[in-house]
Parts: sequence; structure tokens; C-alpha cells
Amino acid sequence: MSEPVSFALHKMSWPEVAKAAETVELVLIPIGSTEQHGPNLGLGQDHVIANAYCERAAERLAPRLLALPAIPWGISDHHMNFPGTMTLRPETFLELLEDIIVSMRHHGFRRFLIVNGHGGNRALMSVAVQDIGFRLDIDFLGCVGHYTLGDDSKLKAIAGEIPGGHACEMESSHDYYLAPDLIREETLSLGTVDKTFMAMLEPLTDLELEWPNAFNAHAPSGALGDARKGTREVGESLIESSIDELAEILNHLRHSPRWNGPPHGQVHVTRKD
Amino acid sequence: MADLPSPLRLTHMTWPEVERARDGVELVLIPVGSIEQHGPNTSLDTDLVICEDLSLRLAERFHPRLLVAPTMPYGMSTYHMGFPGSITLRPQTFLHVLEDQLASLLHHGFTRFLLTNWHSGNTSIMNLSMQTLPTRLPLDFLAAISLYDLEDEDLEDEIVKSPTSGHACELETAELMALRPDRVKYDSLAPGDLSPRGSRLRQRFWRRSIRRNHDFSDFSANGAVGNATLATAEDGWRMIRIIEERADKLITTLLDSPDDLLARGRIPGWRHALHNR
Repeated sequence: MSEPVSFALHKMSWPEVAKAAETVELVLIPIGSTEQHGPNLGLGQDHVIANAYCERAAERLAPRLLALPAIPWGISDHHMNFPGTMTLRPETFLELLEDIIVSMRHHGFRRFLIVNGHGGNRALMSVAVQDIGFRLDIDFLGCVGHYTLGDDSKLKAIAGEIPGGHACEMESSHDYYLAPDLIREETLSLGTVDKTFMAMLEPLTDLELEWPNAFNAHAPSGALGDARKGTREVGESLIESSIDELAEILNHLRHSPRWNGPPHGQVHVTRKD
Repeated sequence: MADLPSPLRLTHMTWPEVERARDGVELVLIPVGSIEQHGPNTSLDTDLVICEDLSLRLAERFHPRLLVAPTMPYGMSTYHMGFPGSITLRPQTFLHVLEDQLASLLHHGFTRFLLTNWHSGNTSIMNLSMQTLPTRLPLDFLAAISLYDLEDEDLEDEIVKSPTSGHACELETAELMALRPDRVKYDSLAPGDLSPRGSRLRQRFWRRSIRRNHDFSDFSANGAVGNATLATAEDGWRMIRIIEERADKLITTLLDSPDDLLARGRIPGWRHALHNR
């Protein structure tokens, strides 16, 4: 059997995948979106970065991780007032994930981590972990936002007065490091915030109201933060430190309950007398 | 509105009452519950009855501006399935049931909805519903409140004596003792039978925004955490009163919010056009 030269599935041959199945501990499923990122960044931002992140992680931790190709669409209904945004119905997204996982399980892989690059997918992926992780005969299904891991001190140092979160300095930094062709240098601009809308929203969210709302209502240009401040150095620090923490998590997970089964859906508690 | 029953609880009303109430109702509450194990301490419908009771009490105080729709009895409780009696929906089922409930109420002229919840396992599916159902249905407003988020942290620190809490613990059991003592198994109250390793791992991953498939029995062999033997109805009432005070403030703020700003924040109903074409 030939040794894999890459642990990104779409670049591998089938004999390489067969070989990888002997060493891979966790399969990464990158998810993101195809949605507007203001005048600053291309619509593929979230899935392109999630994809590159997973490829990089699989390369650094070879031969322990296998990166699948990213799912290019996510839950982006709140961006549909901006041209180009596409979105899946939750039913579609869940079935897509299930089909991908069942296919890979057929080839002998039993542990999966959804790696997310888009905040709007948080509820979906958490639901997927609960549901698919319970129903399917697999040993592990987890999810994490790659941007929630690692050391963000360099990002904090460049933050401006408008808080980031979308098409901002974090995302342009990711791009300078992993996907520079997504950046629109000539139109990079400061994010915009609708203060009237935010003033109405704050007392409600202070009282814990959950209300997903249209992105253009609070950010008319589609961007927050200040994408002009992003740098390659910040991007490299964010991505590489995030992968450092992913490696640390993987080492802990190996000792977690039922890492080697039995599958969640086969757990039955009986009364102790 | 002396001729209308208070609270406005749809399942207990006649159709002429619903018709008369319609114009005065500004917001419909939809309680979202669960049927899931709560250790040996309380009944499987604990989350459901707490959420339903709090919603009815709210509707009473805001009568006749709030209507309480039928409770969604089942939620997502996959991680309690290791224990007998727990029932869970698939996310698709939850979405479809909620969509049909909303569509029916829309048909009768109600357009603004607030989901009320008492089960943290439901927060993701509720969020997913709020992100996506307004694209399919001409709703004016769809939001949610997890009522336990309105608990007071200082009072929680005072009531909770155990290092872990949050499910069938001294706080939740106390709250149920206050609202629905008939659901408390006073003779069987027991502290959580915790696995130290499982608890450590759980805390670590939750802090780091990591979610994984798990069964509650990975952390607790009897399905409870904390120590329900310490629960008292008095402590329960102290917390319930704070939750109610904050919920009142939330509803008041919401009902006073400018319609045009709420409309501006609405998730675009871009699939409506698709259906009508």
C-alpha cells in the first residue's frame, strides 16, 4: 500500500484512503457558508477557510486526522437580503451530513468532528451532533468552531471600536494567511452598525431574548469590525494556535467515555440495587 | 374582557372565545418542553410543566394580551435516552411540528410568537427553527426565551450547595416543589451519582464551545446532578419570583418595541414568493 502524501480526502487515491484508515483517529468535516461578506471578502469565505484549516490540521497532525472536502453551503437565511447568498434548509443540511458520515463509516471510519467556519451554523451543528451522534452506529461525533479555539491576543491587539464577527479583521487575517485571493483590497472598508436598531435590540438581549434577525438590520453594508486591519501575521497566529489546541483536545478525547464505543444509541442504564 | 377566560390557554378555550380574544392578543407563547429523565427525583415531564406553568402565569398577568398555545411536549433529549422513559424527536420532526403549529395559528390571524423553554437541550433546535421558519411562513415575529436564563446567579450560588448543578439538582427540584409538588418524588430524592472523570471532561468541553455526542450516564449514573435532598419549596419560590419579575420586564419591553424596527429585523421571507409562483 502506498503511504498517503496528503490527508485531504479529495487529493488522495483509494489505496491511500485504505492505508489511512489504519491510523486516522478522527475525520474532520469542514462546514461553512456561501454568503455575503460585505464589499470586503468573497462569498466563499467561511467554507474556503474551514476547508484550508482542516487540510492544514490534517497535514500537521498526520497521520491522525483525515480532512473531508468542505460543505460549501450553510444556514444563511439572515443574509438573504444580500445578492449571492445561498442557504440550505436544515433538513437538507442534516441529510447531507448524515450521508457523508454513513459513507465514511462504510469505509471503516467511526469518529467525526464537524469543524465550522460560520456562526450561523452553530445551532445546526449542535443539533446534528445530538441527533446523528445518537442515531448512527458511530463512536464519536463532535463539533467546534475553528475560530473559537487558540490564542486571539494578536487579534485583540488590532481590534477597533466596532466589534468584529463578520467580514472583519479576523476574517481578512484568515484570508491573508490561507486564501489571499478572496480579499478585495480596493474596497476593504470599516464595518457599519445601525445604532437605532441596536438600541432597540440591547434591552431585549440583556433579558436573554433569543431572536435571530436579518443581518442588514444591524449591519447595512454586511460587514462588522474593520477588515482593513487584518494581517497575515495575525491570521497565521490565529490558525496555528487553534490547531495547537485542536491537537490538545484530540489527546484528551482519546481518554473520554466511549471513544472506542459502544455507540451512544446503544447505551442503556439499568438500576443498581 | 371579563368574558374571556384568564389566562388565555388555547386548549381550554372554545372557538368563539379564540375569535373574541384574537384582536387583543399581541403575542402568542408556545411552551417547548421535554419528556426526559430527571433522576429518581422528579417526573419525566419536569421541564414541560415548569415551562407551561410559568407561561400560563405570565399570560395571566398580561391578560388579555398573551395567548398560550398548546405545549410542544417533546424536545430533543438524545443524551437522556440511556435512561428508561426519555423520548426524543429528530430535529426534522421538531421543525415540522413547530412549522405546522405556527402555520395553523397564522391561519387564524396570530402573527407574533415567543417560544418559552425550560430544557437546555432544546436551545439549538429552537434557534435553528427561528433562523429558518420565517423564510417559509409570513410571521411578523418569532423569538425565544429559555426561562432558566432569567435565574439570578447570586441566589443560585446561595441555593446550590453542590459543585455541579443544572439537572434534577437542588435548584430545579426546589422550583418544581414550588410550582408542581405533585411531580416531586419526595421519598426517593437522591444526590447525583457522579463520575468524576466524566464531569471534568464535560466541563472542559463545554467551556471550550465543543459539543460531542454523549449520554448523561457518562457523567451521572442515576441521571441527576447536584443534591436534590437539599431542595425546599421556599427556595424554589424565591427563584421563581425573580424569574417572573424578569420575564415581566422582557414581555413589557417586547410589547413596547417599535413595530417598524421589529419588522426590519425579520429574517427575510424569501421562500414565500417561491411557494406562490
